Order: sequence, then C-alpha cells, then structure tokens
Amino acid sequence: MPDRPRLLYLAYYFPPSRASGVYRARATANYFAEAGWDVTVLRAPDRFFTDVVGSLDESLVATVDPRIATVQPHLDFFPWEQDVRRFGAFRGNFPFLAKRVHAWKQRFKFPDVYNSWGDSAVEEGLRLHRERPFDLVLATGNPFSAFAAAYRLGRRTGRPYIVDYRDSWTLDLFTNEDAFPPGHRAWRWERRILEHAAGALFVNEALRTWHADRYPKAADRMHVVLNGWDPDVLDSDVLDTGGPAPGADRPLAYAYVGTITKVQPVKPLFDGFARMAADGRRPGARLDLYGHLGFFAGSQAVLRTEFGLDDGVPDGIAYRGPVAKADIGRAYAESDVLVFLAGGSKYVTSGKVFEYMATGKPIVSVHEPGCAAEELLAGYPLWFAPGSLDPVDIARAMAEAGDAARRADPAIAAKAREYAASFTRYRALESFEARCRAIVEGGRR
Amino acid sequence: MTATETAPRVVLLLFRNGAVKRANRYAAYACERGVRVEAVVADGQRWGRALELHPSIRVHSLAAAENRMPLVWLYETLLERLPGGLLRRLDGRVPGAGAAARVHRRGASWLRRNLFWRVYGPVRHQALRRPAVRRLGRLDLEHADLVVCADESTVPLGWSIAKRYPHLAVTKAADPQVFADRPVTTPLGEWDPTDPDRPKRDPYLPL
Repeated sequence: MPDRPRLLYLAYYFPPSRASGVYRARATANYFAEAGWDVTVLRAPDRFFTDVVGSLDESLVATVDPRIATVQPHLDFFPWEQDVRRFGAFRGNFPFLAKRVHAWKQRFKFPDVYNSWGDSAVEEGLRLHRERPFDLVLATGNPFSAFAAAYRLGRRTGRPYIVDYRDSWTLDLFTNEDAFPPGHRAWRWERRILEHAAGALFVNEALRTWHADRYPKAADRMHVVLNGWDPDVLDSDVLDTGGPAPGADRPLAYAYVGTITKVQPVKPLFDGFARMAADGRRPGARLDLYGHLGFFAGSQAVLRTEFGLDDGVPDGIAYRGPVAKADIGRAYAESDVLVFLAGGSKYVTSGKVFEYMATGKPIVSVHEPGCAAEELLAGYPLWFAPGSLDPVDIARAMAEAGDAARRADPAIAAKAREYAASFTRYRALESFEARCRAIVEGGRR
Repeated sequence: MTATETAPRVVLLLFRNGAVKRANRYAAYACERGVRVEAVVADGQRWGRALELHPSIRVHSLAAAENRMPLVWLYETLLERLPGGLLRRLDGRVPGAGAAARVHRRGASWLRRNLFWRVYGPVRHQALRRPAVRRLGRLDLEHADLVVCADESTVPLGWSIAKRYPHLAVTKAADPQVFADRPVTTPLGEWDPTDPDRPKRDPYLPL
C-alpha cells in the first residue's frame, strides 16, 4: 500500500471547462493534492468544451496543481454531433433509423446523456487501478453518470466511493418538485448509489435533509460541504483599486457578476432598477451585467432576445459580456453594490454568494424569499433583502444598498470581509478531507 | 477567385416546412452581415401552409422535381387529378356529379392522410435525395462555404453533398452566431411573413 493515499476523482467539468461547477472540482482536486493525496482526475474530453459547450478557459488549467494527473475518457458525441461529415455512413444515410437505434440502446444504460463517458470512465478507472490501486473514488455531479461510474468502480474494486452533489439530480431546484416521474430508473439508481456509498456531500443543509428523508439508510453518511470563494480568483489587492467610495459627485455602479440564465429573475431586477433610477435621488446610477449568457454558446442569442439586451433594457443597464478570470476582481472593484441574482428557492445556495461576500461590498438579493443563500447572507453586515420579487421592494433594497455604499463605513466593510474570510473553499474542504483520510485508513486496517 | 475571397455563401437545406422560421432567423442575421444565403426547399408536398422564406434568401425549389417522381405523379394523377377533374367537368351536366365531386374530395383527402403519407412520408427524405443530387451542379457548390441541414430529413442529402464536395463544411447547426464577428453592412428592416402587406419576394427558382 503506498504512503500517499490515491484518489480517483470523477469530475466531468474540470479545467479547461469554464462551467460554474468547475471551481468546486478544481479546489477539491487541488486541496487533496496539497494534503498529500495522489490525485487522478477523469474529466470530459476537450472536444466537448470546444465543440459542444462552445467555450473554455485555458487559463484555468494553469491553476490546477501540477501533481494532479488528468485523463479524458471517451465520450460518444452522438447526441451533440452537428458535423454531418462525422456522422458515418449509417447515420448519414439513415438519420431517423440511427436515432431510433441510439434511443433504443439508451434504454439499457444509465439514464443520462453522458452515460458513454461514465462507461469509459469505469474502463479507464479499472485500468489505472490495475496499474496502481486507488484508495478512494470521489465523483461529482452533474453529470450523474459520474455517480454511476463511481458506484460501479466501487463494486468492481472493493474501494469506498463518495458522491458529491454539486448540483441536484432527482430534485428540481427551480420548482422544488421531483425531477423524474415515479418509477423512473433515476430513482433506483440514486437509491443504489447512495446506499452503497461511503459518503454523500451536499452544498447546503436543505439539500442534505431532502436526501436524508428520501434515503434514510444512507442518512448518517450524508454531509454538507459548502461552496466557497477562491482567493486566487478574487485578489484582494485588485479589489482595493476601485477608487474612492461613490460620493454625491460619482454615480453609483451596481453589478451582477456571473452566468445569466433564464431561470433567474432578470425582469424583476430590470424593473426594480428602473424604478430606483426613476426617483432621481441617485442620478447616473448604472447596472452592469458581467458574465456569459447561458452555459452553452448557442443559448446566447436566445437570451439576448429574451431579456431585450440589445435594445429593450431600461436606461442605465448594460450587458458587459464575459469577464476573464484574471479580470473578475477588476469587475468587482469597479462596482459599488453587487446584485445577487439567483433562480430557485430554498435549495439554491449559488457559489457566487461567497465571492460576493468576499468583496466586502453591499449585496442586494434578487431571488425568491427563502433561498438557501439567505442563511449565509444573514450574518453578512451589508446584506439588503427586498423580501420579495416585487420591483417596488427591489428598488427600495437597491436604494438602501446604494446609500450604504456611499456611506462607505470602513469598519463595517472590514467586518464584512472578516465574515467572508471563513468561507473560502479550502476551509469548506478541511473536514471533508479528514473524513476521507479516516475512511481510507479504516479500510487499510 | 475562391469563395473565401468573396462574401461567404451558405446553402440551407429544408425538406420540411417546420424549419422555415429557423431558416428565416438565420438568414436575417447572416444577410445583414454580408453573407449570401440560399436555400433548397422541397415545397412540392406538404408545403401549403408554410411561411414564406425571407426575401434575402435566394430559394431553389425542388417542387417540380418532387411532383414528377413516379410514385407521387401516379398517385396524384390516378387518385386526385383525373377523377377530380372529370367530376368537376360533369358537375351541372350529369345529376349527382356535384355530390360525387364532394365525396371524392373528402375521400382523396382521407386517402392522402392515411395512405399516401403513411407510405411516402417515411421515405420522402430518401426519395428527394436523388433528384436533388442530380441537380447539385446548378447550385454551384464549388463556390459555397457552408451547407446547413436545417432539418433532420435533409441529412442524407447533406451526407451526399459532403462526399461530393470535400472542401465544404456540412452541418446540422443552424447557428448564425458563427457570423457574429462580421460587421452589419446591410441592415434589414422588420419583415413579418404573416403580414399580408409584406413586400413581395422573388419567386422560388426551380432547381
């Protein structure tokens, strides 16, 4: 048995992916590597990021610990393939039949479009395990094929596995209802995976409780590992370059930084901002939206039209586009008030909230009341909650946050940053890594 | 002069009218950016209620070629045109001819739904491929840059094109954002295909 415990980490979205879940996976792999683990990551093939998602961030690769080995198991691109030349003779000549055959084959596989990657990950994991055995398998979802792969690897190798619910699988976070009808194969798979797992991680207590109620046999192995903010992404030196606080002579800058999707209450935000701007007490106030529109390149045009970003937005609102990782601190520095725009309700924390708190700036919540992030924000001294998605309430909260930014009390800002300092990703991972070590050592004994 | 030295030229393939809206959005975005957009449409059958294609698209029609195909021509002639025409001519001259014409119309409509489309529908995309491939020369694809299969049923034709023109990109992705970095050179006004007063477009050209 080697001295350094070996971790096989199934993280489909891993750098160079720029997906929002990448930061949790990156921090987990880096933390384990720094803590003395020999980490191997199985991730999606590059072609998925370039051709399917349509975007990646190569600069993120440099932030992955060089001791971490990454492998790209094969993925069947059938569902995403657009290049007719790559179809092959069967699909090129008989596209409908090929689709039916593909759909028929899916009936026998894990119910997830990424299942071919999961199958390859099992093969690759077993091959690597034969070369040098792993001590622990950790999988993060989505996609949840990673969970199935971890389960199968656990069964085949006899090693413990842990699943990390970075996202929810069978619970629809935006409607708070089951994501699958009764009797769907996903339920059987989830039960099987959780009941055999050495642990299951969730990003907040509400999600942990929901799963514990569903799967009581596995409840004692379910834990919360919060998301957190990444000090390397949010450089405090850059944050301090924003210049003086906005006095009466400088207009207020509100900002949202993050991916914009259609599940977020964008319209109430626009209406609330327009109402606040219309009262004339904060002349020149602007709302900047930084970030990608949707997770896929193809969704950009649809969302631009849906939110009227080209010409239909109220005065003062501007879509500034995506911000490179290196410049994200500057986007925060140039803002006076941050708008925490989140879809869903009590099960949604959003990783962004930690980054927002780390800036020490006033935060206005624009989401359904009862969002899981409220528990965290409640201890943050510069939090302004409208209490509803009514534009009148949003306008009031935005106005109060703007006034707080103008007052710029350094003591409160310092208190806010001090509070946020306890929410780095590494802090969140400390106890989890210790638990993994105990599981591995328990297995060795 | 190669195609890349001039404005990009895109050929859209549409065999089903469900793809017309998508094609119009694509063309409106691309043409504003100086892209020449052409379309090959199979508007011979099941195209009656289709929206009109954007005036900026040069449209090549496969209607005549499709309607001359033996199965289609025989069916329409023997079951629809001949008896229908005969009964219309007899209407007013022979008692009961008008009623017979109405019965025939209803019967023909039922047969079209339940016989013709049951047989022809599943093979239509394959049947259309052959006449379309025979006429590819008229599309001058040597000077095209991209072929877009706007609906799944055009994939066999797209596959044949990909085999014959190795330089061509043939894709199912009708995503006009690939031209996002080209400046808008000819802004197009609003155009609503459902507006009865919309400007008339050029007629579709037989391929």
